[in-house]
Amino acid sequence: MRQTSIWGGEMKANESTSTLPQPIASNNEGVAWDGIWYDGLSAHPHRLRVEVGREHLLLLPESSGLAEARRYALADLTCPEPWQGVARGLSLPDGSSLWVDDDAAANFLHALQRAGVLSSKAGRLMQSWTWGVVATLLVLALVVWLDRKGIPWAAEWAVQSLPPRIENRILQPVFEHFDRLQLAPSELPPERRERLRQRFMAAATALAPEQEFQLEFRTLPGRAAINAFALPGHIVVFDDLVWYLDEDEVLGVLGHELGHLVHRHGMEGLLRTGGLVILGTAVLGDASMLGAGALVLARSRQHSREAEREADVYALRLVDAAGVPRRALVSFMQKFEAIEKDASLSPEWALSHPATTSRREYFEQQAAQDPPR
Amino acid sequence: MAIFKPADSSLAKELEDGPLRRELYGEPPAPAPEVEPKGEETRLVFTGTGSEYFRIWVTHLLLNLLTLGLYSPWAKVRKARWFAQHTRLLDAPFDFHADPKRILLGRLAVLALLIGFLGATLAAPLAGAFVLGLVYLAAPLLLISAQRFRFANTSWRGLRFRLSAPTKEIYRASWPLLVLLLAGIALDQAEATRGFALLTSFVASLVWPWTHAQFKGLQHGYAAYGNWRFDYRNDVRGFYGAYLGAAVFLLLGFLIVAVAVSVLGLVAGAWLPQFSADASLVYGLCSALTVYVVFVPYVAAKLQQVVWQNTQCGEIVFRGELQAKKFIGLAAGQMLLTLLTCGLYWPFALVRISRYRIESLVVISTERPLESLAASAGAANTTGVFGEGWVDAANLDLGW
Repeated sequence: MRQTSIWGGEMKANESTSTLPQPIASNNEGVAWDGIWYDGLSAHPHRLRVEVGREHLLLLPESSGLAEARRYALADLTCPEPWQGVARGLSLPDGSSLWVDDDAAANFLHALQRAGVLSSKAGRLMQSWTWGVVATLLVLALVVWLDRKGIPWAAEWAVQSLPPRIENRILQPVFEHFDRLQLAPSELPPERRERLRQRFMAAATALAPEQEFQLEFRTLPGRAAINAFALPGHIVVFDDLVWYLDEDEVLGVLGHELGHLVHRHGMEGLLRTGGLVILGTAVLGDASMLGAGALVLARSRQHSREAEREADVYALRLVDAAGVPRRALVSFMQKFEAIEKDASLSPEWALSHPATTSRREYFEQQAAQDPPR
Repeated sequence: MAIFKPADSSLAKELEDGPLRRELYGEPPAPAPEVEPKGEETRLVFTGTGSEYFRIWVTHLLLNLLTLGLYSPWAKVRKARWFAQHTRLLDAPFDFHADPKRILLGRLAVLALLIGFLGATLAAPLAGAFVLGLVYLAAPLLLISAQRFRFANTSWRGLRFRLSAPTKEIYRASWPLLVLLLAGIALDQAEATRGFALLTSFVASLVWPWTHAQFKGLQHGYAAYGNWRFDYRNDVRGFYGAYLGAAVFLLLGFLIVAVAVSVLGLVAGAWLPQFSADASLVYGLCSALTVYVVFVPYVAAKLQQVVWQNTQCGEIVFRGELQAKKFIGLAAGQMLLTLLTCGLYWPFALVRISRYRIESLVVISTERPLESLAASAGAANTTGVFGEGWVDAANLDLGW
């Protein structure tokens, strides 16, 4: 089968750049390899001899139907990476390609490298298993460091450098949306609300005069909500909490929520989780987004528990400032334990809050000491 | 066709083969050897090993982490080239040629889009919804653009593949899903009740197999290799069949998981009091795993058969031999090992799964040996690959 006419006819225009007038000087070493060359215009394989000269790669016609020899400057070539069992493929500048059979490939590559045609450093590193083990250990160390130190540090730095005004702007719509769709106005007697508000605001202003927020009373229709939550700009208390606890205890809960605001846990948690999602996707996303998601969830729960402990510490400071005995926090936790007794328990790693028992024990320990005066 | 023809004697035609007939007409040729004008069947071969890919994977992971992702285009090209060069047809490897810088450009474009989206959401939720709508509208274009990029950068025997699906067709294939997605945004903005959202996602899941079939049709029907064009017969029924079958298996899987978790809960509850509480968590995780291990491989296997059965390229036809049962078993085992090793086994799993997928594709040449076809492929390809510049500047790659 003669294919010469095909590219011979069509390629004339750009042949001049790569074809050398005969004869071609062979390289001194006289080493040559069998190669298969595709002209890029037809899938017909041209078998030919390949030589690596000082400055050029030479393709010498054999019985290939190739009319003339071809020459390519080594400077224009990229060395293929030495993968096992793969012929060495070279994409040549004119759109043609050359493959040197895998049996002879190793020393073909050496010849190219000796002539200064190098593959990428990363590509060469990957050949050794020593590097493979080192890289694995480095990756593991890096992932652990990012998870423990890098991401929390970056999240904290970002939160510190983010003006509260922007933070409120980001999270304000979340509260408004939730408020409109899920929450209903409080049904507490107004004087009770007012008394709580005055006592809490007095202590809060003394403790964190800079903190801007509004205290809101709400109900969650159709559900018992013995709870409160904080979002930048708002602390929300549910009626059920006020009914279930006494006033001193409610002040403790509000102190806890104020702690979240002061420490800016909302934004920090958002950024930390975002960082973890990126890390998880980079490491495991290829294999399974599910696995990555589960790990991210477990880790962000851990961060959330740390934040809760921090808020508990702040709750202590607030009750001290309000002149409320620290025992109030212990009794508040005891009442929580009573509710949880019937409800289900999950292992701590799956929880967003630390186990109530350990929080109660912490407050008991703190209640035994006198508040610093 | 050289099939035995008796001499043009009516008597001979009516005679049974026997002594008399032999006497009259001599020995008949051996009972017609079925001379099917059969070409040949060739299988794709995959030569990559997990050991080699692990080192590539871990190096890429390290470099991606150290460069905060800026290395990822280079990683992606090397990965694609590794898989292409380890895939052989007629002992000739495929190749992948993409320029990492272009991929970086594509990613930066997506990043800009994302930042624009976030910024708009912050400025005003309504603007955010508007930008999200635009992103949805652009998604089919970006998707097909990435496919074009991928095809144009894949070659075999020095000839590139090509995807020439027209933009109009992409929107013809995706409009029902787009309408549903946009309706979802509108409902969300109007703060509609949950029922509407559920309804749109239910309708979307009904529309999805049709949409998927259309996209596969674009991918296979507008593909070309050199001057060979691929033909594709769209088989929407096959797609619905595959998804329906997968859904049945999925429900079965959920049932088994539910029973297993309950039994486990009864047994374990005796000495692990908190287990009863975790049951919902365990159940959720197991169900999600079932989707991964049953639904995804089943659909992949069935669709491979459907898609390739309807694909043709001149005298070349294809057969997908991916077996759902075997594929599910393989995927389950490999996923389990990946989980047990915290993901370190993943490169080995990917190679095993890819090998099975790739090697289950059979290329059948109906008339002549494939080798001779391949050799003559370029004969009419007078324009040449590089002259036309397949890689359209508008095509950005966004990852697959």
